[in-house]
Amino acid sequence: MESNNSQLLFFQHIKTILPEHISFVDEIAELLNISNDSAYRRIRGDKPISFEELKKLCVQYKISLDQLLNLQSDAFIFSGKLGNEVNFVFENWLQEVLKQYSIISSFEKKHIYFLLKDLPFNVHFEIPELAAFKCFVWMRCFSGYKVDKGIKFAFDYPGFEEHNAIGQKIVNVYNTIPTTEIWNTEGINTTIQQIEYYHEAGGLVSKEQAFILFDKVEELVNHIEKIAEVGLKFKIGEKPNQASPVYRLFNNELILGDNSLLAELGDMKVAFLNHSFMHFIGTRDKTFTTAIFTNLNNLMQKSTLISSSDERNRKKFFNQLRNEIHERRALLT
Amino acid sequence: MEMNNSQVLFFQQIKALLPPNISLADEIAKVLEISTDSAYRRIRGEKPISFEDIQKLGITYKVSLDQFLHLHNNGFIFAGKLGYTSGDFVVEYLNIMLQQFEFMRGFDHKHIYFLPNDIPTFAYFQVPELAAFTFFYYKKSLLHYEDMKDMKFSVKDLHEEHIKLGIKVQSSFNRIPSTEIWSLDTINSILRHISFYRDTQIFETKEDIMCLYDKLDGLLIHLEKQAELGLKFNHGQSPDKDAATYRMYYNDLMTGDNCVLAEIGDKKVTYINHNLINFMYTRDEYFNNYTLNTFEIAIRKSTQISLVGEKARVRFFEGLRKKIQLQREAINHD
Repeated sequence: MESNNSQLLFFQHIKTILPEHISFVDEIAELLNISNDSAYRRIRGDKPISFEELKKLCVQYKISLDQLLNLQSDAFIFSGKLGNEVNFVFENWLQEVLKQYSIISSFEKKHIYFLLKDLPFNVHFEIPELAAFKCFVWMRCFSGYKVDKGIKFAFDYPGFEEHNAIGQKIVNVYNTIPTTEIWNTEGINTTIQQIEYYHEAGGLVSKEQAFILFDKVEELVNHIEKIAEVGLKFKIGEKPNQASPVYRLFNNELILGDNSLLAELGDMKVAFLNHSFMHFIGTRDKTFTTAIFTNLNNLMQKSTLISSSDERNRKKFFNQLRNEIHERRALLT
Repeated sequence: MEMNNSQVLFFQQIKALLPPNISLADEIAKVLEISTDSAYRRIRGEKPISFEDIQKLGITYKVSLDQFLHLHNNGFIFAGKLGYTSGDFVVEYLNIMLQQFEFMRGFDHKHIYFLPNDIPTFAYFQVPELAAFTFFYYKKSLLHYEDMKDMKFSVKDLHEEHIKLGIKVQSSFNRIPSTEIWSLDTINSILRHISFYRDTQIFETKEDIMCLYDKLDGLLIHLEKQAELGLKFNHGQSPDKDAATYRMYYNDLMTGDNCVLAEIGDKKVTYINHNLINFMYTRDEYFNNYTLNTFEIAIRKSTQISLVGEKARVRFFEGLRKKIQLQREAINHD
């Protein structure tokens, strides 16, 4: 009988979780507070288990029923932390980013593919002034973050040291992972708009600060041009060495990216989608990650590789970014 | 009895996912292949449902059992298509969209929040040339159809069935109140596609390009009118007494991500765009409340340009038109 099969498989799954020396039937009987005979009937699928029993078993053995049962091809399990609306802690978000990159970095075979609409959020930590500004913006974008609206931006705002310390770790870990990024010339727009917005919005960013920030964006762009030129990742102010991972940069003139990320970890792939501005949800679903990977490969075929080779197009691309920065800087009032 | 209570609640959750005109018992009877009487007994909790039945119902209605049983694991179920199976992608794509909008229309309370990073696709459906261009772009550059490889685009290549279906989708969407948060960059996507195809000589003639720019101008006039009146209506028509409300905001701080939040009755659904063309959705309550919160934050940082804010609205639409004009001039200088 079909129904028995599913229940049977569910109990078989639990059995694989238990240490060998434990009696499976005794364990189930004790947990569900039933006799050994009743436990047998359930394990064999002769008697259906109730919702309440199902819950007890799932909680005890940390089983995700969604993962166990949703075998349909158009349903995917994503995971991610959204933070606690009541007591949001920005540092926890930074730590989560660090944790995810550290997991990727821990694999011998690894690669990150980034389809960007903005500068990769983590590269702002290369420059303390930009890190301070982006943290200022991000904290205001998070749901649940309580902010005093009148507080003006400062490069050394209270808490910056802690944020920057985690940010430095993120940069260090990110720079150990071979990466392919697909950009276009609009990648710097968001950061520029944010500088303009907070400068115009009640002067939360002063004119002097805005000038510094524009200069720092240019400094970051210059650094990215350098790593694209050598095709290797290294920290700003440093030089590549033999251990430096590969950096590939593509310019795609047709599409605008969506900040999605695909990570290869050994033989496994994980896709991360960006949502609610600064959050990412990830899935290891094979069908889904394969679809994302195929799409990325198609996009790369239609893009221009401007790292390691094609100096002409690389210069043109980065000059366009610099021109945009200069024009917008000149418009500051 | 505890068991029955959980079972009753499980069926109540499924009922909330069905359009109001659908009978829960009939639906359950069909899915579980049992009589309506047997379905009633299960719905009332008189007869326990089997593990297999739970699985069938969970899969059919995309109910998160982890969420239902309060198994906290930071997981969210998303559902959605990764590919298209039928012979005509456009028909399948439009029909999926139409089903979603028609489902929402069945409820008294409905509202769509949209944070577009390009002009909402359904807006193009009311202008046949723009709709044709959008589908051409999808098939050629996103789905990489082999038979599109050497194909060129002409505004004359209109497909009657697609146009009719597209207008039907747009008309259905226009009956659902919505809130959209745009930025000046929202128009960049289509302008980028046109300019890329121009550079790679995908257009049959220069007139095709000019026609698309003209049609985009026309669409902006319509959208500006909708914003001015705060009502949704079909292109070339006037709002009727049942017109749904339209709220439009201008935001220059956050870039859109094509995220959609739909309020349907007392439930919410979040749609996330992925792989540039596909959408996946979740009914996860926690996730959806978080998304709503994000929309509220975005709205607080935005300027309302529908119904009120005439000066900002005029400046905003002028900004969009200026971008089109710059591209038009670039062609004239070629």
